Amino acid sequence: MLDRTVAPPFKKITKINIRQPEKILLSNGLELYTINTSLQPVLKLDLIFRAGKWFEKNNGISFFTGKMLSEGVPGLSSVQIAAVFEKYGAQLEISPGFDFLSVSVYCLSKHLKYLLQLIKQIISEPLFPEKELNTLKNIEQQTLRVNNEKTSYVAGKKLQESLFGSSHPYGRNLSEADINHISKSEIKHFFDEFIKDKPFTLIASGGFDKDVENLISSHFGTVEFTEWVNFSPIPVNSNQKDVIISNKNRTQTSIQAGKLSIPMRHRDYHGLLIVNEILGGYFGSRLMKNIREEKGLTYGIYSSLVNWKNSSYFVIATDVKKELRTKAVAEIKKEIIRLNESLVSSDELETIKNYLLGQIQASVNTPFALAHIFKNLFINELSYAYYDNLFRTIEEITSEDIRSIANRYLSTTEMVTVSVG
Amino acid sequence: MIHYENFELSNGLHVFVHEDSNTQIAVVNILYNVGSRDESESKTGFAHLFEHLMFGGSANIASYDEPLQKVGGENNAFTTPDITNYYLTVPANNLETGFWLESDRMISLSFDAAVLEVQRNVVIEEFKQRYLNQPYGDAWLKLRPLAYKTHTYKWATIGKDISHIQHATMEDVKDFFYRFYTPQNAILVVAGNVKTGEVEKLAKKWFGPIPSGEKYMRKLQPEPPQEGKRTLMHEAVVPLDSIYMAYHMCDRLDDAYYTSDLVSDILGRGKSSRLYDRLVKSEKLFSSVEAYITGSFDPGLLVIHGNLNPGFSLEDGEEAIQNIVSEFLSKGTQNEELEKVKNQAESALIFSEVELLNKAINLAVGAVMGNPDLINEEPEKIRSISEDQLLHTAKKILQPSNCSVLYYKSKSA
Repeated sequence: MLDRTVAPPFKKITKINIRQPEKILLSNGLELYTINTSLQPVLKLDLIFRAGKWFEKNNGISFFTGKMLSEGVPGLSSVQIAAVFEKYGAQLEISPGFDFLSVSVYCLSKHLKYLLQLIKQIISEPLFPEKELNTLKNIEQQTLRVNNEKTSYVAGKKLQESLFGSSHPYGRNLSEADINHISKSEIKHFFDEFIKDKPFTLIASGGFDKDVENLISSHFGTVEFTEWVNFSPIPVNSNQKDVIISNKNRTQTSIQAGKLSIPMRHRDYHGLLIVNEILGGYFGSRLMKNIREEKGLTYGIYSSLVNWKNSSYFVIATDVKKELRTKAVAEIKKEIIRLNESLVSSDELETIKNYLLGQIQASVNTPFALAHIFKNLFINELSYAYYDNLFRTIEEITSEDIRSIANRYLSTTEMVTVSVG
Repeated sequence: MIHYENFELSNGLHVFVHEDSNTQIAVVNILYNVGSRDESESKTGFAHLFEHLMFGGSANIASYDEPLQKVGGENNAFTTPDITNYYLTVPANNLETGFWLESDRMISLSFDAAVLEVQRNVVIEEFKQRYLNQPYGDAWLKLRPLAYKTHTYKWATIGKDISHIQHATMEDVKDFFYRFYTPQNAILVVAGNVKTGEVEKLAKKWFGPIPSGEKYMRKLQPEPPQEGKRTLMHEAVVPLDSIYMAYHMCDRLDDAYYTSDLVSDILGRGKSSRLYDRLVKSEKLFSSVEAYITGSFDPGLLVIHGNLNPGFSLEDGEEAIQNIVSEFLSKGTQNEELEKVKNQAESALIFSEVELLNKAINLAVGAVMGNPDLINEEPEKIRSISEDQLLHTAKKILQPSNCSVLYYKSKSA
């Protein structure tokens, strides 16, 4: 008779293979990284520029420069550019970030050859037509209006402002007035300074043959460029202020609580990652158990470590019953204090260790996921030893280590709390 | 192309196996053939509430999540109008843990009153978070009952009214479980670094002893053809006016399903689509516009949705959309445009096969509709669509008398 009360025996994960990319040096010195593991003939090509918000002088310029790249090149209008990509079922995705600007194309590998010339034009000779800029400005105004009605969006923005200061690139929020002020000449200027003739990094992931690789190499291997721009330091200017914005039309309050944290290259980072996981990193976390599964105050609550090139922060985010906001904030504090004062049980520690390894194992199965892992290491100037260290930390960390790391990096006193709704 | 093997247990459970040795993990996906369309009008939102209860402990196991996390696994679930789908990933050599957990909750739940009480609250917060506390979050709660008058698609998966969730009783929960959560009403898909022989052994061991239960025979009232345009004006505190135009179309297994999908793509998929090009880029009436199909198993909807720019009325917007639709119906499409949307569809299909979990879910969805090969037949079905078929289908769908329009009007706070 089958005894269903007893769990089947299980094996610990002992080895996770994280496939590293192959590095190809193009004839002009640009680097192409390829992760070619898919059975499906698909391709994602990323071009990564040092042209994020970090480098802009006026608010919103990096964002608009990025988005305007595909709005007109010699011989092709905005719609005609879109039509070329869509004709081949391809997608162009321009992601203007805080530190980097990524231009990415998703397509069937066999179609890349029809798109490369256009991609090259987009990054080298965009025209920034005034008419398209006005359309884009209007679209972004409307999008911003809708986003500003979302309590979780506003809470996230306000927290970043509190942590980094309203003049810092990570804390500065785009307003409708900022959008109004954006001009073609400023965009042109930003483009000339940070994208035109500047080096960039290429990542190709998916399933493709040597031809595709050669095609990328030959297309971008002849591009001429100048030197890399540097990330000059910009001081953080935290105001550390709690924020409460009430809105009578809202049925829930979005809470975001956070503090500045340590970067990925810090020796305690891996330990902190584990502490974060226990507190609010997964469905079985303490915050989720307490605030959702025991008290039913929310649909979900999570904590995470957000890493950018030049800074990191820790955040707890949730949407809760409006009338029970103070209770939720108190419970969040209680859980942090519990991590600071008491030891994690060996049972909970074993669960978290196995769960984390399982998560990593499940996150390395597609070429796109592997490319994401590589990109994250690359922009933080880390090698794959990061993962060796992570595995070692997961293996060795003790309950005492966890309490001491929680004490060092997660005290409630420096935490900023933002509530919206 | 997704390869698979399949077998059926004596209790009626259908099992599909997709072997993929390129991964170190395994996916266990169980699809139950029950969605919000199977609810009664006085107890809506139940299929989804039930999904939450499935994680509150089962016949012999106090907690579902913890034992899975302990072996390095992760899980989730979703409910649609048509199905409730549960999935987990585990390191492939811990596959048996997935069988142990999933089979036990197919035998019975713990039916713990405290779990019901908490999950009622969680679902109410979900209702608020996703539908009430978001700008336009309730649009589909308005649109569904406008477009469907008879078919149970008229309410959303989250439910028609929060009070239905508040009043759910343990009796309701038990009744629902024994009616729908049986081997005969489930499809099990195991995918990843597994072997069919091993899966068959495990399936027999853990699911084999479960009584087959009654087979649920679905008898839903079909939606009668719409005989005239319907409109609804809804005012809310949102920044922009928004319009939703929903047209009835065929069901998921109809030959015209893929043709209808391409009709929506021609109108409003991507920046080179007709609606976007004309209304956002040239005429600047809208700040966004798109067209898509709901993809439901029973006859679904083709939806055109856009947000208007300040200075233009909802009537202006509707008229402009109508002009583009009329032009499409009178002139049809050119080969180049048809090729474009076929390429978009083909590309999306191939990209959807990169992720193991997607493959497992696609197999299960095809299987529950009676054709596990559906996903593999799709490329050919899409390729073979002609310009004439496209226009014929477009003409059938895009009639004003077949349309329900929701005017979502902005008002100040």
